[in-house]
Amino acid sequence: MRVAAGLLCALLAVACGSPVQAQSYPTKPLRLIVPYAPGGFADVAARIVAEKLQQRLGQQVIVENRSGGNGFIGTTAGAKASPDGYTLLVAHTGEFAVSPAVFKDIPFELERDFESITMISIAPLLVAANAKSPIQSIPDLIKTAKAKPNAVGMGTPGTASINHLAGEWFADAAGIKLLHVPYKGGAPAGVAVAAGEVPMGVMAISSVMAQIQAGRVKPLAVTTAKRSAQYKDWPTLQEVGNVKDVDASIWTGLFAPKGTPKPILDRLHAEMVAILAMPDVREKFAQGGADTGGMSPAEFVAIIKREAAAYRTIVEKANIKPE
Amino acid sequence: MDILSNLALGFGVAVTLQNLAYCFIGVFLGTLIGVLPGIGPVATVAMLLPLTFNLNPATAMIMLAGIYYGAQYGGSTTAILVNIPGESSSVVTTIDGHAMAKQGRAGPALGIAAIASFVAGSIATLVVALFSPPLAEIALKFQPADYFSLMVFGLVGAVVLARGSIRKAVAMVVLGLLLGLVGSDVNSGVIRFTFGIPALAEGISFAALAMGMFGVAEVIYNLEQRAAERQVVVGGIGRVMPSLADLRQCIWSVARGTGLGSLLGILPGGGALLSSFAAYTVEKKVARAPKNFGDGDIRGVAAPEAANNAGAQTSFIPMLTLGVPSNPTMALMIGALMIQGIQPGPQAMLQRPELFWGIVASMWIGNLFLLLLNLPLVGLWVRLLAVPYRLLFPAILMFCCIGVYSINNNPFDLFQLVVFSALGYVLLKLGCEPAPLILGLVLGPMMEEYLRRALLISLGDPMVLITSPLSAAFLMAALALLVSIAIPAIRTQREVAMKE
Amino acid sequence: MRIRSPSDFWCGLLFIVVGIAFVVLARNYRLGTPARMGPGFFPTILGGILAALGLTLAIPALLRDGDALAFPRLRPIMAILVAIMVFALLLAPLGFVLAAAALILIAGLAEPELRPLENVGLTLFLIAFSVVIFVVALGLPMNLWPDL
Repeated sequence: MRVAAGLLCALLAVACGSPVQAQSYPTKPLRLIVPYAPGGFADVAARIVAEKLQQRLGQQVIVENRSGGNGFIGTTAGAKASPDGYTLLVAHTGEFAVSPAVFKDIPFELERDFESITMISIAPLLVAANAKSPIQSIPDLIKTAKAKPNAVGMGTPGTASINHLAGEWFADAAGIKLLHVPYKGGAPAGVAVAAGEVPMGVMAISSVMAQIQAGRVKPLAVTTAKRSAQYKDWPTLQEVGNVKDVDASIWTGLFAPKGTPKPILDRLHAEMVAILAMPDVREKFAQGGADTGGMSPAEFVAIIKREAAAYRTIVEKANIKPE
Repeated sequence: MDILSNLALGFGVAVTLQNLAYCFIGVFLGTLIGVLPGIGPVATVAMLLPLTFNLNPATAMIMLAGIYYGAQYGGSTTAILVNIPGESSSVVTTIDGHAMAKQGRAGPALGIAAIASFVAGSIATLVVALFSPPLAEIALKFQPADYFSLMVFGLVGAVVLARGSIRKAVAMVVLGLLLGLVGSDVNSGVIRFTFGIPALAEGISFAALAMGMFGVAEVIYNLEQRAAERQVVVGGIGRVMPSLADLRQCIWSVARGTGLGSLLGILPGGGALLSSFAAYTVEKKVARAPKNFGDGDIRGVAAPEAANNAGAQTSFIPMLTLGVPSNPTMALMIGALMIQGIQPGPQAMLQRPELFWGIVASMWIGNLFLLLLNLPLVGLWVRLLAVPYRLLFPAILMFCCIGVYSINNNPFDLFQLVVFSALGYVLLKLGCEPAPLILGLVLGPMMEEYLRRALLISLGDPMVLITSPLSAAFLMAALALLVSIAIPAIRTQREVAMKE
Repeated sequence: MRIRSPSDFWCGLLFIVVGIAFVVLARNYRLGTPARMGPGFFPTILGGILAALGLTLAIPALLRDGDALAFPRLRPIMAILVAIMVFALLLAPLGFVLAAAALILIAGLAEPELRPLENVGLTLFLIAFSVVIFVVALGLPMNLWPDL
């Protein structure tokens, strides 16, 4: 059956070009490739969206986790998939804004290999401190770090993670040096701050929220230029740190392989905009401190390129390289 | 009493027709998939995860927990019957469990595994109910130096697993540690020993290594013997249930296993992985007549299975109270909660007590189902051993391939399977046992990570390893264990030398 | 010199080679100091220890008698390893059904006792079973047939 259906599709595509295909699109299940294991930031975003896409497109939407290689494997698979709108990629800040700044020889490139559809979600990162540590504010942090350079530990979910870069961005702008202590993911880093193993850290809101509510961790400032919509009483680094420009966030986005027909891309974009405006979807993302996206592809690409350029500068200044 | 009203609330949630049904379906499906050789709990939970997305959060977690227990017990079943562990914690079960199966005592081995799991699960559930909040605080007391020393203790214990040459066992541990270093180094971000292969950047696939070294290597080893000489099972099937004498022999093993497993399961930094190894080590050290260990001693099945299941229960504590997964399966569960819009953590416990206590209550119910389901099935599983090997081995091979592939959906992992099958076969031929290597592989990267982090935070002062009382205690215990291994070994060697 | 305990000797040699290989490869990574270890520190130390352990196995093996080694039968080894490799290579381009058929048929060569008809029956049964369980029931993302 599926061979026959596949054959038919291929024949149709060859014979009539893409418009016909787009009109009937989708005629078979869609796959959303997530380059990380189930349960991660990108995976949760993909699954929330997949459920709604499935209802609206009337076809099964399968989330396929292709984890490994810091997201390279899944992203490469997304780039190489046939551009028919049936294989899409859900990636996050790491693949397109951070990795190009950190690694040489990346097997994919945003504009060469992908059509950006839209941003799914965006969340600020949070600079947070252990509730019992002497550091209770950003000015405290700057003062302590100036007195003892390279001794105040900053926990992050990994070397060259977006959190690490955001922390270095802040340190550079504030003229301080912190001791970078990488962990294996967000949850262990959050617990390390809660346990006082490191006095402070740069975290995704979702990985420290539980510790904040338990009173073990104190939020100091968010890393974005604007305050978080959910947590309006948290100041920004720019406000309390006397640092200009610092504006780092973590987002997820939906991408298609380069060459996917325009009508299909338009359809997906329209569906995504509708889905991301749904109250229950917004509520689910808000749980993790995230806002929903939904901007046009051109705006999305512009944001990614602006971030990639900013991170390149930070990486050079802070000399972040995996040796 | 607070706890009683909480438990009442929990059972109120768990004992609805719907939740009981999903709990049973979870246990049933988990067992069914997990018992396929080569499909471990991680793969099973990942495959069955989507079934829970459309349920309400409490029901979803109850079903997932059921799947997890079922899959874990399924992994122990394959460990006993065909020497293929489902995950790292059932590696130890292969040692005496499969030896028992070869002697025609697969039934008692499976029976005691089910019974020990149930007893341990029941006690550990009580521990979770009574002590979750204070235990979560203990977990926060563990600093990197303490974890490092705990790992050292665990590795010394790995040597006790050895049946044959101690030098070979030590070398296998070290080889495991080295293989564990493949992939990204957490502390520096450097990607090591991957030869530029991106699929190796997150390390060697545990499933590929375990299925290769245990499953496929064993298949090749068996096939190599000519069919006439080959006796995978010696002496028929024998009795299906453990005898009263068996049970009496195991009481204390189960008790010790339960205690160890409950304790280690609490630690979010990899304690649960150690539980079954630690239980086996302790058993071999304290049991009367430890000579039989490795040749099908029923205590060598009871203790690790108890520890394994107790650890599986208490590892819910760091997950539910801190949001930290202690093993890959727990990471999947956290993902499932987040998809349900629930942020695991201390607040979830206060805001959604019905969820927390519902899960606790369903843990016990799940364990009960597991026992009720599996005791009658033991006879069926045992009879599978009567299937001629020429028909059994292609099935084992097929499931190993699917299991390994399904974890990352990457064909490259199958090439890893080929490499580790070959390596496992060679090592088996050379008289090296794979169990110590597995422990090294699991603990190696964590040990390095914790040691380097401890030194990073202390700004290079190695004294942290001794000034922390927990760390000092573990190091002392490791030293004591080392001496207790070394003295008999040296004595035997001297005796051998004297004879010459 | 005569090898008196082949099992220990070759085992030791294997560990020596692997240990040295890790030490050599670790030279690509910064060594650091014991207080500030670099990524090369652990592998260098562990590689050294493994090689040393290998020596303690290999040298006594020249002096003391020990277990002999039987030459392996190549047929089962080759059949099984090739079967998995072929499965890995065919899975993406040809889909699960054909790749699995190749896996089981090639693996069957390992066992001369297996009758051809039996092998075909087994192949059909295992494929049907796996497709129903893993693809239909559990939705494992695998192509069943060649992707056209």
